[in-house]
Amino acid sequence: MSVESLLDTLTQRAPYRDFVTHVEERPARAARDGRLAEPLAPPLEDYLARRGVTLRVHQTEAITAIRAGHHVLLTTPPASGKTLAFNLPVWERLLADPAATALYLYPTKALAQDQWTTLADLARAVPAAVAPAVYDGDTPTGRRARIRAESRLVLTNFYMLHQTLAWAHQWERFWSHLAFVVIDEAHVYRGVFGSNVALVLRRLERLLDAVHASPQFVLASATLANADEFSHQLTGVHPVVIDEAADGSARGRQHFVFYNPEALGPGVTSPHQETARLLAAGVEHGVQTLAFAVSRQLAELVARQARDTAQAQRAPWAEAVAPYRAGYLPAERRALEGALRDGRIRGMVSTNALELGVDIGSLGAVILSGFPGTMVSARQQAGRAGRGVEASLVIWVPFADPLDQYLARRPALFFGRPHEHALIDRDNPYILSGHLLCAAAERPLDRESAARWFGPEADTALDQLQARGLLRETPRGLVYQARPAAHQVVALDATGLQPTVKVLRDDEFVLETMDWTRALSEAHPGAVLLHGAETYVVSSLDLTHYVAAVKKQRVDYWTDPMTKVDIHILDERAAREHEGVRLSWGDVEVTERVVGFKTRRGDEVVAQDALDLPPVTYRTRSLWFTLPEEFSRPRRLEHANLFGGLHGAEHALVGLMPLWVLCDRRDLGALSVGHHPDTGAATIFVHEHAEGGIGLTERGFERAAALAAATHELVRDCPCQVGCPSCVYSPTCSNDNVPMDKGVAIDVLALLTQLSAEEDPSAD
Amino acid sequence: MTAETGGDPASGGRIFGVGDYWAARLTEAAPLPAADVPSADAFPASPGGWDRRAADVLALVTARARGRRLDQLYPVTDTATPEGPCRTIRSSLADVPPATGDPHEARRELAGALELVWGVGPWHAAALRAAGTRTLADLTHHPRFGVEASRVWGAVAAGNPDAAFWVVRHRCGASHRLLWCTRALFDPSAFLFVDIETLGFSGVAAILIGVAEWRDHMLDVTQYVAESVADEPALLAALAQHAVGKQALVTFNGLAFDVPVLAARAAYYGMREAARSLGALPHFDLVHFARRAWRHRLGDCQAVTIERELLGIVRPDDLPGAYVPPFYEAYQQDGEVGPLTYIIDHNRWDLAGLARIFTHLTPGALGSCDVG
Repeated sequence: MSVESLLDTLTQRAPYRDFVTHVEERPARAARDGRLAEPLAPPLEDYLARRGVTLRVHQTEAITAIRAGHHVLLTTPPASGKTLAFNLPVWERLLADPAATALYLYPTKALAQDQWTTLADLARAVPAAVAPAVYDGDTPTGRRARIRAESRLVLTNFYMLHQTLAWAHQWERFWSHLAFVVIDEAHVYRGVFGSNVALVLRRLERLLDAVHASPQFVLASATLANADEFSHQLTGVHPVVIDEAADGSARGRQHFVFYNPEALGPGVTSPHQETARLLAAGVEHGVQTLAFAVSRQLAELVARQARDTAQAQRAPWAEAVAPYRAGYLPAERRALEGALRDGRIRGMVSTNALELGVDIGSLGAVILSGFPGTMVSARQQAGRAGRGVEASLVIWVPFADPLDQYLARRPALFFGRPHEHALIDRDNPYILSGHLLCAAAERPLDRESAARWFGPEADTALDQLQARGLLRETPRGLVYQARPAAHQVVALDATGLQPTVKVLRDDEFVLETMDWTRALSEAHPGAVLLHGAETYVVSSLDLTHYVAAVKKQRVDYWTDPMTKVDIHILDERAAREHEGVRLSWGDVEVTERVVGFKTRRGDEVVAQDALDLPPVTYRTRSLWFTLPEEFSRPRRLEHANLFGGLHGAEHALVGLMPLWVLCDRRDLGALSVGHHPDTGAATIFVHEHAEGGIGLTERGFERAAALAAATHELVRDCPCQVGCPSCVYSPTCSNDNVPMDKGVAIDVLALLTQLSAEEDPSAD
Repeated sequence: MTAETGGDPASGGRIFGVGDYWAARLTEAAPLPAADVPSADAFPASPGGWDRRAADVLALVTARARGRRLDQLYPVTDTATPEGPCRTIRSSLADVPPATGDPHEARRELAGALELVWGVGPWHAAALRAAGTRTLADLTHHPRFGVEASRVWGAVAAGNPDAAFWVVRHRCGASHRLLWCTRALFDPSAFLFVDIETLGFSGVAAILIGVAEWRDHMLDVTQYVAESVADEPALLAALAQHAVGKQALVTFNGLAFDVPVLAARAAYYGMREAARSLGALPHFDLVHFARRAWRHRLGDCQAVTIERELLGIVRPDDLPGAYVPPFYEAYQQDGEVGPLTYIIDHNRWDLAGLARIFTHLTPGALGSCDVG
């Protein structure tokens, strides 16, 4: 009963072996010890000795660089001991300078709490008054003043930091002695949230500058292709990068299996069914197994299938399988983490909520159900297997969708591909202007310092905020003169501006909360909602009080929202044209309305209902391809064929775009129309979901050559006849992939490839 | 490499109407209060005063003073401050004479409060009294409590009200009867009554700082008024100047609101001295005493409720505090002083009420209660 026997089962026994298309083995590796020129402060040396810890070479490099006063970014793999590598030099400084303080920032409250345990332990081991403390929304008001007055190491998250900056004068002691800003899991701070975080950090740095503090930044992150550029965008400093090459941690052998449900042809089996089966196989082989699902719904669904299978077979472990995801209440999550750590749970299905460093111990096997959207996530999730030197297994179950199948057929690309570029866009007008309001409310803001901290776009935004009377010019600089407090209205995620909808069970218990847009598509009346592997049916969605009422009800169907999207072009900002095909990029206004929903049993649509819900309208960035009229005329294409071709090309393009731009597929939307009123021709739009855009389509416009070529290749080489989910079909398509014309889609893509050939070949 | 950017240069590259965007969101988050005017007697000139909503009231008060200047309605002068001149309105009230209690009686009561000594609880106090230790002076000879008792007795007996205040404040908290007793040790002219008007609860500007003090049996009211938020530093500086020589603050909820807000605003402008000055003064926050005294009788212990129920005072034409921010914004938008006059009057009522509650509150109302 072991990882090896599980691997044998997969590769040698039916039905598993037929789906195994590739096995990659990463050999075990011995540790490489490092040496410090000067030993650590004696209490820290004692601390390590008591624990029997030997420092590895990447850790000593980090310590040496931090001691030398450099900003440092650590990108060694998961479980390589990054935390210790920065804790030691930070604490050494806290010991040497009794006034020095350090700020630790985590993406979630749970992570801060988790890390506090480690730091509190360290605090007990060293003779210094550090008093590490978590300061977040859960910190009782009665304890806050004391933490501000006494603690020298504060753990918090960016939501709290954002609010806290409004009260900077209460933190004068802490800020003016700030020696370190530690940012863990830094790769998380990309896209909308990352752009907000970068601006919160600029606000912090501006306030620190006023009290003459200039801390060292210490970042820990997953591996990124653009580590230096990203760190600089996020923090404004260029760190010393300590990466995989320096990694001296020991590692067990790891087998990485591609398990492709499409291997025997489309529709033979489903990836969810296979994931449930693999999870069951792992548990039966005595290997503690964690499966990562790409959505909350799928996490619930797979856990339920695995449990049902076990119950059907009267297997004793049915109760040892559980789902885990964001949206559960904190206590529920803590209990699940504990049960996984101590082995009571043998199989778990999680969303990416467990991807970050929450301590769940070591796992024998990890299943990636579907490509998690980015190589960064795939690496982080795979890293959950095999902490320590024991052998481990990672199984990837690709979905029948373009990106998954493209990668599944190219293992060399999967393992060899440079990691994606994480994008931060500090110039998004909505994000930037919100933080300018906050900055002006924290300390009067003069134009010169605005440009220094917030970039060249700040000036125009300030003009507009001033013209609208929100800021006022005074001899001390621009002063916030509106109400309520800017910090109350500016939120760090795009959804923060929306109302939060409570999901109420039996009119009483809050089952979970979700933002407005999500509620419109997932908690409309009649929707089936999964929570804790149970099904709930939504009976009503109150549009004025933001409450969705649900009843627990065991049903064997689920629901899919149907969304109607309209796009209006506001401004074409850049364009390239070749033989009448035009690629454009610019500003658009998107209107989305959930107009109804489909009820599905299995793959069959059993009912279709209309809904009357309000639309959501926003301005963002888009790229769009406009086809010449000559495209359809000589071919004598019927409207349905033309539209089917555009439709297929649209699906495939959106599917592959995350290979070039680090984003979730959810961050992008698309629309294809046979005749768009603003272009007067057949048009394919790929737009961003974030208001104002965060640079995704701008990067897509730059990389259009590579994108079009890869998409063309994918669709052309797909073995299916008329299209399938691995090429031109989209599982989330509101029109059920109708009309669809794979042949015309290949022609459309071929045309786009020509267009893009003019591009600078060095672009990718 | 970034693609060439086209578009309308006047729109400033990527900015799409962010001024309007945030203005709309801020308005959504802070609409005009929908609350009705709370008194049937308010705005007698308008029919159906009860039903009026904020916007109607605003229109009415704007119309009443349309075209007038502030100095046609009030005696306005400029106070010089290091931050520039500050618009100032002074007035005097004859009907709130000083009444701060008898200092001898206060000293007697404090002298007998053995519980002021750390370690002496109700049980010890009773035992000590039974054994003949009546006063702090007696306790100074006690083998266990003597040292601490000497310190406390020194503070209470020395005739230094500041020292007495802090001894009691640290031992008993902000609402204790003994703390209220210490007010009698101060000279009436040493108090500074403070009430501020702001655009909200936190992170927003103070637009009026009102202070009052007793001088020759009159209550002198001084109001520092911001004609725009650009005047805020001058307001803060004027207050700091005004507080020089004062020995104690009196506020209603100032521990939680006025003083921290003033400190935050001064810190915002980098006025470090001003940020610290008020926090260091003994501070009688009446809301704490009022709650202890009248919580059971009144239900809510808002200043207006106390004035109406206990002092029989009904403010004519007053507006709820929630109207201050939108009224000030209206004044900023078109320069019509009507809405501002209501803020000024409201603040003056608050200051007068503060002084009235101060004189009405006796140690007896606070009952006897345990220390700690």
